Amino acid sequence: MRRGLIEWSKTELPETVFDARIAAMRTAMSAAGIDSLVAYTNLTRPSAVSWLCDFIPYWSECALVLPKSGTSTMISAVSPRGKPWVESTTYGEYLVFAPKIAPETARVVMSSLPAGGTIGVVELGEVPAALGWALETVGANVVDATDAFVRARAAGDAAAAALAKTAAGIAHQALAAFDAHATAASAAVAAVDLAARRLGAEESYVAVAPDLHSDRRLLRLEGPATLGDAYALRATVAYKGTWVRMIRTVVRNDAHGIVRAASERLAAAVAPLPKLEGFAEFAWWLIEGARAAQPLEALAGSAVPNGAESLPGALVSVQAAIVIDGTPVLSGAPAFAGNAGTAGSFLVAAAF
Amino acid sequence: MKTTTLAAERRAKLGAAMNAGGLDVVVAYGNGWQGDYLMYASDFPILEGGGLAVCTPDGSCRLYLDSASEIDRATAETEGVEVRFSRQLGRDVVADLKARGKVRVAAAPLAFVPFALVENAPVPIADGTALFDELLMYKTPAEVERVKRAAQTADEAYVVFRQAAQEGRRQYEVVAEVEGWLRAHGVADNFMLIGSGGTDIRSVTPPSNRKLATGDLVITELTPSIEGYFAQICRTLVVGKASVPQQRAFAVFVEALEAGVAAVRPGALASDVARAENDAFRRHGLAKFVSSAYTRVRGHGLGLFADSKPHILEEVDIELKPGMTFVVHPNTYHPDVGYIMLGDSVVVTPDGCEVFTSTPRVLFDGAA
Repeated sequence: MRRGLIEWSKTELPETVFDARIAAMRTAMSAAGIDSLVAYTNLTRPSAVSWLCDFIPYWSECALVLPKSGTSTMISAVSPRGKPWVESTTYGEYLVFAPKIAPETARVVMSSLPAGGTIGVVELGEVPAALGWALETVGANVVDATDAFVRARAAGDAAAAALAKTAAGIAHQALAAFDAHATAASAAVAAVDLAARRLGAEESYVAVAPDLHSDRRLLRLEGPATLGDAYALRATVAYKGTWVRMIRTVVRNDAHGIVRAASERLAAAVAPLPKLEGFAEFAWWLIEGARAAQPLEALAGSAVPNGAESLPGALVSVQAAIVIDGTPVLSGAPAFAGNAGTAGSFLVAAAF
Repeated sequence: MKTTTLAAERRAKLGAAMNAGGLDVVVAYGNGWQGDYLMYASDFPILEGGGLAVCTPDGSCRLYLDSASEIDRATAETEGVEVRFSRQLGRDVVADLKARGKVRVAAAPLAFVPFALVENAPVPIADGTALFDELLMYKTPAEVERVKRAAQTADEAYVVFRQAAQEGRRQYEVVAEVEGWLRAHGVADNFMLIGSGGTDIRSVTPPSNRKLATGDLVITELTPSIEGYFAQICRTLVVGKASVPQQRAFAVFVEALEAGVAAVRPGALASDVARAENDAFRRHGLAKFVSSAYTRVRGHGLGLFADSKPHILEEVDIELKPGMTFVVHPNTYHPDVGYIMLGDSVVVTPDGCEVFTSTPRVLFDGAA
């Protein structure tokens, strides 16, 4: 449940950005034969709607209806008393408040849908059953619009790239905030979380692997834990709808510089992105990014079946594990995949 | 794992409920907004993405998660659960159900499970929401003990909030201090909202850039969790010295909270508690401010979700029974001074109720 700073910065995301994105979406809708687009949003699937209109729910659920022409409508289950807040964080003219958004969304779609029209739903199979059922009652053709949405978003824009760099900077500063000599995991986690939130993160999740020699898995800390000779913290930071992950591994007495070596090897694997060939040497790896509604969807990884290459130029967050001189090391940072002859590269070097 | 005994207890209760309901399989859905059904079935406190737990009465549980980063956490933080990554939850659980043959299946909360699941399920899927709601509302002593500890944490965290809420601080900086303190004390999760100002503030929201100013009412609901169980405290403070109108307005909320808590006992209805709170406002000529135009609920259930059943409203006739935990909070707008929050977490006991939160019911200010 969000309790970070959620605000629409018109400096970082001017209205013209959303105008351009909506135009791209409508072009993709037209190519796919879609007359009205429905995008659903909640805490964990916010990215499609926030890309189109900035809005991010801190709680509850909403749906955005974008007809092929005319004005979009946001249907919100947030209390009507939250109207000023929703308005202040949403690019769009019409807001409808309804405790049950499914039937209201169907009504809004129907009001502008031409006879024989087609409704496209971003990630149709994953939206709540109630919304799917309600849209079926419209009596129109209901199709999955995920591919159309992904095509519209693929080109990226300067505003999104700038937000990614800011998010990466927050993650880096947050991970730099803990005392590497600390022994209490809770103190390190708290320092990272506090720093990220003070820097204006919309969300901050901190995970820790307290003793990499016994377990490389990154956990959410509850209760006390002691940091071992080799440990790692991962910061997951959201900033104005853009999500990134970054990892800092600490090896006490790292005389041979194995943490730096691991980072350099991950940088070498990132350079060929969107090609994945560089990750073969890692025991475990994962590439995530925002394609549709999930802010950090698994795009490819050692434990991700049917992985796909990320899109050229796309923002991704990369994590990997490698054993050097008998010590497991986790590395990770946000990166842009390569594009048009430019190599893939980290937004911020995960060096501390 | 620290929750093994409790998780086993929950899973046994779920199995018994399934047997009583003639079910072979239940499918529980959860996500980072509302994860209580999923947590009850799988013991996994989901944070990112969505998840579906497919469970049988014998206690077996297969957990599908669509966030790859959650897979590691789920394998480490649960026991006796088979964890699988799933790009498309609905599609993969349909395949799972097909492999089980002709089984009787219920899903909860049915309205929120992925559309692909209900559209393509090989067998009819009944609504299992009520089955889970019973299990979630009426808690065992072990569950109540977690809520009580969470309430104690809420009291401690409110002290941090008070110290942080200084003139010139921005709302999100205040919340950051509380979150930092909670992480430092090993508290994994918290839900909180905040508001500051005067008669311009009609509700609480996520923290904004707004700076606290002298004379502001600063309202919050702070809801930490212990082992997945949430408890809540609602309080109001004034930056600087509280004015006479602010003190006078606050006194109505104290009266309402005391009346609401006094109405909590076995056999009473949720509506009785709400009416007791609302009648205090009516006595002071503030009847219109207990309507939905100004406030949402007069309290709500607490447990594996920060806002669960029963909702404390005059139209909700759920009977109160021992083991139910909820917050009583007569939060609403006061026309003279703005939105005021005041609420305490309670449990229904065999002979009344126990109030878990112990922070004084006062309007804190610079002089408090």
